[in-house]
Amino acid sequence: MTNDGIFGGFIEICNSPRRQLQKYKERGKKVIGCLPMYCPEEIIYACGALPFGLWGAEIGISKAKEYMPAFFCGILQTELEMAITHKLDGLDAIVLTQLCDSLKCFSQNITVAAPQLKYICLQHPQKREGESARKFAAIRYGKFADEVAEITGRKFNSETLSEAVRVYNENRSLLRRFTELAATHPKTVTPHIRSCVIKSGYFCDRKEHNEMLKAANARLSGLPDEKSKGKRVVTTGIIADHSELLSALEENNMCIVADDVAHESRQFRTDVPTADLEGIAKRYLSVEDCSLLYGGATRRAKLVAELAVKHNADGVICLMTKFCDPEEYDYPLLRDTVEAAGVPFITVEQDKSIKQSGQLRTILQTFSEFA
Amino acid sequence: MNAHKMFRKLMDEMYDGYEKTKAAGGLIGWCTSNFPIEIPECLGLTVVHPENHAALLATSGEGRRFIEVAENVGYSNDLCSYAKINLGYCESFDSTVRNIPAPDYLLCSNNTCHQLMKWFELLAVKFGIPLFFLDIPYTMEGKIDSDAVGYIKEQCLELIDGLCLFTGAVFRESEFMRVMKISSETGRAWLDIAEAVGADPSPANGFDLFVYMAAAVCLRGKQETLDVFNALKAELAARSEKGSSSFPAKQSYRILYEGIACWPYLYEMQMPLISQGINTVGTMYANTFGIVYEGLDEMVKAYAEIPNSVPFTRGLEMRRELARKTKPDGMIFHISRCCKIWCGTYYEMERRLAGEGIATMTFDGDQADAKNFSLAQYETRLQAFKEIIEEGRHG
Repeated sequence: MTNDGIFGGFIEICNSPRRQLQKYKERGKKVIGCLPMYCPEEIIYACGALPFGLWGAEIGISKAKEYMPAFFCGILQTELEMAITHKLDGLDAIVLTQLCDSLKCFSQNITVAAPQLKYICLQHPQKREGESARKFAAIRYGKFADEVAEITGRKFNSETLSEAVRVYNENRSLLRRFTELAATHPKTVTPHIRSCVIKSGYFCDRKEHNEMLKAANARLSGLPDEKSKGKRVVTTGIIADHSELLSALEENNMCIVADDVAHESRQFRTDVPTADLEGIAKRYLSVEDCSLLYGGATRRAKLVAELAVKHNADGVICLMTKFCDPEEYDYPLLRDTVEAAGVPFITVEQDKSIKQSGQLRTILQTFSEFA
Repeated sequence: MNAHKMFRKLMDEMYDGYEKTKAAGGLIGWCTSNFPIEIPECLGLTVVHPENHAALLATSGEGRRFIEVAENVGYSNDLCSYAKINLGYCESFDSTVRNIPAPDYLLCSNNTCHQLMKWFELLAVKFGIPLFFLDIPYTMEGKIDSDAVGYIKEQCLELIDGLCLFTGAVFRESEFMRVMKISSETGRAWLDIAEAVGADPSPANGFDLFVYMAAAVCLRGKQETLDVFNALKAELAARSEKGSSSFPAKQSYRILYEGIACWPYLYEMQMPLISQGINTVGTMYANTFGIVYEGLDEMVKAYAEIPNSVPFTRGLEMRRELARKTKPDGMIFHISRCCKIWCGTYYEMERRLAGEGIATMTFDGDQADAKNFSLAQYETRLQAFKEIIEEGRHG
C-alpha cells in the first residue's frame, strides 16, 4: 500500500474542510467553529455539535485590512477575511477566546465585520493556580456549556459528557502515539503527511478520526523502523501547516521527531482527568508550557530543549508566526535554553496570508547541510 | 508653588524615594500601570512603574539606545517599545536621565494588555524573583459580571496574603479603606482636570495632560497627588474664569487625541498643532487613569473596565461620551504599531465616529520607538485633516 493508501483519507479532509463542513451539515449536525486556543471541544461534542477548527487558511487578505491593522497575525487576518466574505456562514456559531491581545481585538472586529454569524465568548482565566482560578474556570465552562446548548438545543448530561471525554482522550492518546510512530517512520510519514494526520482532526468527528488513526497507527506499527535521510528536528511555534513550509521540509528530507506546536502537540499532550466540567477545566489549568498562557515562557523553553535532547534531534526549528507577540516574547529565552542544551536552533517566519519567501528554503537548506 | 512645580517636586521625590528605599535595605517592587496600586500603597510598599520610566526615557531621547539593546538580545521590532526599553535597560541599569533600582518582586495585572504579562514574566525569570500576578480578564461582551468581580476580588485577597508573607508587611483594613478613598478622590480630581481641559475655550494646552498623567499612573493612592491635582484644578478654574489659557495660540480648532502619546515626539507633534491653532481638548488615554469607585467591589470593577479591557461597543461609547462633552471639530488616532490592544479596533471606531460627523485622521507611530514615527507623514495628514474640518464648517 502506498502512503496515500494509509493516509489518503487524512489528506483528502485537509484538502477540503469546506466539503467536510457540508457533509456534517447534510447529516443535520450543528457545527461550531473553534478559534485558537483551548476551546473545550468536549463540551460542544457533548451538546451534540461538531467542533470545527478555525486556524486560518492560505488565502490573501483584502476586506480584513479594513478592520485590523497589518501588524496582526495571518491566522486571525485570514479567519476574519473568510468571515467577512461569508465563507464561514455554514457554521452555527463561532467560539471566541481572549488569550492574547490579538484574539481580544479579533473578537471585537469579527462580531462587527461579520454580524451574520453567531458568537460564543469564552473567557478563560489566565491565572491557573489557586482556588480562585479553579472556581472561575468551572463557572466559565458552565456558562459556555449553557450557551452551546442554546445553539444545539441539547444540554449535555453525564453520559454525553463521559462519552465526549472518552472520545477526546482517546483521540489525544492516538495522536501522541502517531507522532511517536512518525518519528520512527520518516520515509513513510513525511512532514506533509504528519501535518495532515493531525490537522484533519479539526475538521471531522473525533470518533471517525480515531478510527482512521487506529488504522494508520496499526499500519505504521507493522512497518520496520526507517532511518531518516535528512535532519531530525523538533518544531516549535503556533502552527506548522503552511504548504510551502512542508514542501521545504520534505525537499530537505527532514524528519519531525517531536513538536511543541500550538496547533499540534500542545492540543494533545495531556488528557482530561475526570469526565466532568471540572475535569475539562483542570486540563486547561494544567497547561504549563504555552506562550499564550501565564507562566509558560520558562517551562516551554525547558520542554523544547528536553524534547530535542530526548529525541536526539539535530536541531530545533522555531516557526515564528509573524506579529505573534506571545511567541516573540518567548523567543530569546527559548533560543538560549535550546542552545545551552547544545542543540542548534533556527528560526523561520510563518504567515498564513502570504506566500512563503525563497528565504525559507535557503534557511532550511543551509540548516540541513551544516547543522 | 504652582501646580507644575508641585508636580515636578512630586515626581522627583518619587524617583529619589526609590533610591532611598533601596539604599536603606527596603524592598522594591515593579508594578504595572493599571495594577490596583491601593494594595501596595496600603501595605507601605515602594513600587516602581517601569512603563512610566520607559516613557520618560523615550521622551528624553534615550529610549532608542535601550531598544537596540533589547533587539540585539532577540526581542522583535514588533513588541511593545516600553517593554523593550525596560528589558534593554535591565541589561545595564545605566541611564543618563533617571535610574531605577532593580526589583525584588513584581506586581502585574493584565487589564492593560497581554504583553505586560509576558514582559513581567521575563523579568521574573531574569531576576529570579516572585511575580504577584492579578488576572483581570478582558470582557468580550456586555459588562463585567459578578462572577468575574468575585474572581478578581478573591485574587486580590490571595495576593495581599502572599505579598504580606514575602515583604513582611502587615495588612490593615482601615489603612486599605483610607488609601482607596484617597485613590478614588485622586481619580475624580484627575477626571475633573480632564473635563476642565475640555471646556470651550480650553484653559490649557491639552498635551499637558500627557505630562501630569504620570502622577495619576504612579501615585494614585497618595495625598500629595491629590494636592497637586487640586492645585491644578484651581488654576484651570481661575484661567477659565479669566478667559485665559496656557495654549500659546488662538484656539481655532478643538480635537480629541486617541491612543497612547508618541513620547519621543511629544514636542515635535505639538508644534504644528499650535501653529495652526489646533488644541487637544481631550484624550481617552489620560482618562484611563481616572479610576473612581467606592469600596473593594467597585474598585475591582473600575480596574476591570478601563478602556483596554472592555468590548468595542463600550469603548466606542466612552469616546462618544467624551465627544459629547468636548464637542470637538475632529479626532486624531495614533496607530501605535507595537500596541495591538489600543489600536486593534481603531479602523472601525474611526469609521463610526466619522459617520457621526467627526472629522478624523490616523497617523502611524509608536509610543516609545522613535524610528516608527514619521513627522512628515504626521504633518501632511494634519494639513489634510485641517482642510476636512474647514470643509465641514463651510458646509
